[in-house]
Amino acid sequence: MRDFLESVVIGFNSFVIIYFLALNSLYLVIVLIASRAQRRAQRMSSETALEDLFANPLTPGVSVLVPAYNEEPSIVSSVHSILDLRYPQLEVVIIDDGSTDGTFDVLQQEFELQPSTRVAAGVVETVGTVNSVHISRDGQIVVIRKENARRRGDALNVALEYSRYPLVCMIDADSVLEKDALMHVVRPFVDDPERVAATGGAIRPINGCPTERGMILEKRLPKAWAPRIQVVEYLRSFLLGRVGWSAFNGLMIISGAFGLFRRDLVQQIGGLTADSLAEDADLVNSLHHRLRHEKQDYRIVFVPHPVCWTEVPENLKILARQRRRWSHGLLEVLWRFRGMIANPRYGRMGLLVLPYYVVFELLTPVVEILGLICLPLGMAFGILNWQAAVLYALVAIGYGILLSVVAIVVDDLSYQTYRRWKDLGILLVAAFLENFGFRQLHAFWRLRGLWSGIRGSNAAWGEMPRVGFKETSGASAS
Amino acid sequence: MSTEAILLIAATLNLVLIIGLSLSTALLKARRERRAKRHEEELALLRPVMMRYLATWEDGDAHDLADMLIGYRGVTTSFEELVAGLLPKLRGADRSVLVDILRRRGTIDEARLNTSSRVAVRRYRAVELLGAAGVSEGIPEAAKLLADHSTDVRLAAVRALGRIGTGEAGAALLEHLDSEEGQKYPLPPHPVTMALLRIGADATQALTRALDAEQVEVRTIAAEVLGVLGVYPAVSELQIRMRVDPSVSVRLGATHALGRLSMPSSVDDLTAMLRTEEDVEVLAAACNALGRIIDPASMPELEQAVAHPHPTVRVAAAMALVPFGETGLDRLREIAQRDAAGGDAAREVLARNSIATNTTPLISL
Amino acid sequence: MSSIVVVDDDSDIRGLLEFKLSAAGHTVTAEADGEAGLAAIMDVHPDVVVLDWMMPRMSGIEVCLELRKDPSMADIPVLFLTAKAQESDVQRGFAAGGNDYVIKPFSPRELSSRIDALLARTPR
Repeated sequence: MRDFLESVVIGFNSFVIIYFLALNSLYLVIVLIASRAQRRAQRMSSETALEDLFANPLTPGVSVLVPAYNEEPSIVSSVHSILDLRYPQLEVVIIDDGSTDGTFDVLQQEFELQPSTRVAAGVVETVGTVNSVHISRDGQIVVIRKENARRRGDALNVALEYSRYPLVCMIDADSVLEKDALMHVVRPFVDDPERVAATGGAIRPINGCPTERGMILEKRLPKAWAPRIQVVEYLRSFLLGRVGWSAFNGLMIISGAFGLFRRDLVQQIGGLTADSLAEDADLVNSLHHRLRHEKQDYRIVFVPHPVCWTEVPENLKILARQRRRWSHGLLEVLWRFRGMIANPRYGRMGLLVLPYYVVFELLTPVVEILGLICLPLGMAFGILNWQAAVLYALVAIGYGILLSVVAIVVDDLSYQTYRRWKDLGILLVAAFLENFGFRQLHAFWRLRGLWSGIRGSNAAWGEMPRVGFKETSGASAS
Repeated sequence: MSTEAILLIAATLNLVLIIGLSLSTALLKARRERRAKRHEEELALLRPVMMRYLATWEDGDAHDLADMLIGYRGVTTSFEELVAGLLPKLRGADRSVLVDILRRRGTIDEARLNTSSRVAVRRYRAVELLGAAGVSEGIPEAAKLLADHSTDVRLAAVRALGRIGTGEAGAALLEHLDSEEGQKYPLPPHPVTMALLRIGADATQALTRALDAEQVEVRTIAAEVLGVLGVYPAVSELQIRMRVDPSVSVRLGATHALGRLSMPSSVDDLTAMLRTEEDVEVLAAACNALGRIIDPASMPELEQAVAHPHPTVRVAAAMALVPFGETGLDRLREIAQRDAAGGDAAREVLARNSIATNTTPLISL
Repeated sequence: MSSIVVVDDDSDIRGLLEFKLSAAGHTVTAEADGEAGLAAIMDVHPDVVVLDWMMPRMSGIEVCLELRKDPSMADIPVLFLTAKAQESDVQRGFAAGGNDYVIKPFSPRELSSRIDALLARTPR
């Protein structure tokens, strides 16, 4: 019995180590690809290209879609900051998604909105009833008041119905954009119009940066450690990770905080999945699915330039809820597109990207938590001596820190976002601290998200009609 | 080797890498800051000289300032950077003066040489500089880079040709697009249209010729740009393209252009389009164009289009009736009474019009 | 001699105009954002204002609208100097109360003549 237990514990510990070695090595490769791509983009960045984009009367118009639910304090400054963006032709479409506060009243007062009878395009299905449409005098701002359907996807679909430009930009009401943000994400569309289907912008935590009227005055690090650690996290996975996948044309997630899409393609896939928890990842995967299915040559591009800033939770309870939701959402999306996983028909997406997400994103918390349980267990039963246990822990943690350090270094080399010496120090310390407490908590939150996904999924997946779902399941059956 | 030994090695390696990387970043940061400081100092000396020269060169007694600028050698080469930053913001004689200084410093010749460099970044920067300076001696080099194997360099060459201007640059661009090489190294239409728009009137001839080009993209670009540039002599050519071109994108481009040119002679062709065309975008563009020309003869056709099955066409047709003034609005009010067949579009446009009576309605491209 | 306030977030353009307009004998106050610009205009009561459109904190359009609201400053001529080049932009500029509109890239010589013309037209 003891022998058996011993071999299980040692075997499992070796498995955990190999798992993390593989995960981190893969990630390191992605990050290295990313840093090369990023450096190249940096050296050939061009102000003249942005100038031409701005001056050209043929530059495609952009509809900025802003779902808003109870955003009374910030919505006016958000809209102002969108209107102030450097872009030649844009409209702002705000969906007041059944707000119970004065979101609509402040908008109406500030922008002198008038009721309109604008016609819905009738191209995607929506759930929540539209009560009224209001537009500003110059027609640049459209506000749609609708019943809340509890999910962001439906609000965005409604916005899609009432907007008119060929490119649609989906953002969060509290996203703060850099002045050139739209130019940077539109550029791939005009430089490679045949292929580019969507672009996403780099997101960074805004906590600690002083802002005024929806503009960042100075880039600073947050004051508390929880958001500081998230800065490192965002640098590592939302910046370098995505640059790497994008260089490989395997970008699976464009953050809902700032993404740009070709309207015709979004319409073709029937808009967003109205009831998805992760409608952003769901949309990008639908595009991959559709375009791979039709054997089209296409690109989904990540723009590494820091363009969008967003508030991250400082409160651990809210952070826990956010991460549970992400984990649940990821499971939902991977489940919906399970027919693509390991399916050679979907090329890299099927053979590499989605399997990576299953093994190294979805299941990481399981392995991590089991590893955490096994170490003390092994020591308690005297199977592992404490030196070995410490070494196991050191390697797992060291690799994690190394990855974060690489991300910090690459960011400092290419963008120098944070200028002060103190900031560099803080980031390095945060990279270290992340691995003691935060990482374990994070694994726990994700595990809980996964669990609620597994429990909730059986009931939910049967009854909800999903656009394009049939095709997927058909592919998996074959 | 035991597991523990492997783990020990891995842990040590991690530690060494973490410390090494952190230290080297710190070193690089320190070096960068030293250079930045130096750069600032140099710039603080150079900028006022440059600004003073630009403000006073007309008086004719600024030769010493010019000589200072020509002879200036900075350690962090801030001169070219400063000029490159200024050039795109200026027009006219003040700009030429700056370019002249660049030429006398030998920067232009160096850039021309660098367009043949084996390093893509060098070629890129060289052609960007030739474009920023807008020197016509750079045309052959820029034209050659239209077939560069790096996309970034090709795009930079397009932008440079637009900035340099002259009919020669425009012809080079259009010919490349229609050639076999242009098929092998394709150029996206949007940057090309901007380059041609920058060249402006000088590109007219080449553009009119390009309406008969072999490639669909070239014909589309030519049609769109002729419209934006307002080349009236091309109207009859554009009418032919709109009527007979087999490609939807060319028909759309020609319709846009005829709308921009708004010549009454296009009305017959445009109303004929409303009857025969099938593409929704082209139909909407034709309505839009008729709304710009405002010929009463086209009203019945527009009214019919308000009842089109597609909402895009319905709204475009209804919007096109607004510029006809009270007669057009009366027609819309009448249509708005209907339940189906365009009533929704008419109501929407009427509402929008009442909100924005003193501003122009948005025109979608 | 006249006093001019230049509001532009581009330091090159501020520097250039400071030198150029001072050389032409004017007193120049330059500010880098809309809010500081408005404060400077209230403070100086200049003869002409050169305004960029897209600036941090307060756009040029908003600054101009603010000026037009205040009877003591409603008559100060405003010249927009901006990269916003579309027809509708120019219309918006004039609708907000601008007296002239110059699109970037611009010719400093031309700008200087336009400022002189604005100065000649306003009674002092």
